[in-house]
Amino acid sequence: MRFAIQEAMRGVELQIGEQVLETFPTSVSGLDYNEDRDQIVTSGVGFVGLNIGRYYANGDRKVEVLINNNSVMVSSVNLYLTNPAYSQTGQSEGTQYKRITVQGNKALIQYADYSGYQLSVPLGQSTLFVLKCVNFESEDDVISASDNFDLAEIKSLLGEN
Amino acid sequence: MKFIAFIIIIFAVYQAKSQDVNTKLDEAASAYRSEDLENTRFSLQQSLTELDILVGQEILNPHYS
Repeated sequence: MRFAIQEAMRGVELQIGEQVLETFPTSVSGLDYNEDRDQIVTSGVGFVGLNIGRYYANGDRKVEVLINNNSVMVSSVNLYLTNPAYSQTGQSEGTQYKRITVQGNKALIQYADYSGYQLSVPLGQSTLFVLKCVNFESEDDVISASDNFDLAEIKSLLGEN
Repeated sequence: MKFIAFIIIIFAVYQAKSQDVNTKLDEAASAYRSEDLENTRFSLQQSLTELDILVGQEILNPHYS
């Protein structure tokens, strides 16, 4: 019976993942998405949660969006945002980070020379939205790219407040 | 006599717990029919939690069922 419920939950999570993927744009900042790399991963158990991802590329510019829902990973990112040490612009070992606001949500933007920009936006208590942007000129370009994603709709679909 | 009463109480609790699982499953089915996937998922998670508790109780006390 337990296995049957887990399988039912997997099925429902896959449907939720498909609905979330439908809200994603097919193009971001001139980069087209690669349908083959769309991903919805779920284990049916709370520990790993539901992972949804889409990949955009054009030449050496790349954007990868990942949504992690109902996972233990999310609490660690919320720690970043609530830790006073990260409350201001900072820099450590070649990585620069800054707290910003994206579509009304608190977020953390990081930059590293070898991996580019990463924008992390916790949505509610158990969802994390991550946007990785490679070869983007500036922070504003990354925020502009993030505006293509309807975070309020994603929150609603995932039952976050 | 006390032992029989104890068994009846345990059985009643087990029935109540089983009902919790079934109730949550009914709620999940109802939410799914109304295309409310998030509540379907939530009810399934709750039913799984209730079921896990029952399994745990069964392991700790084989006479539970």
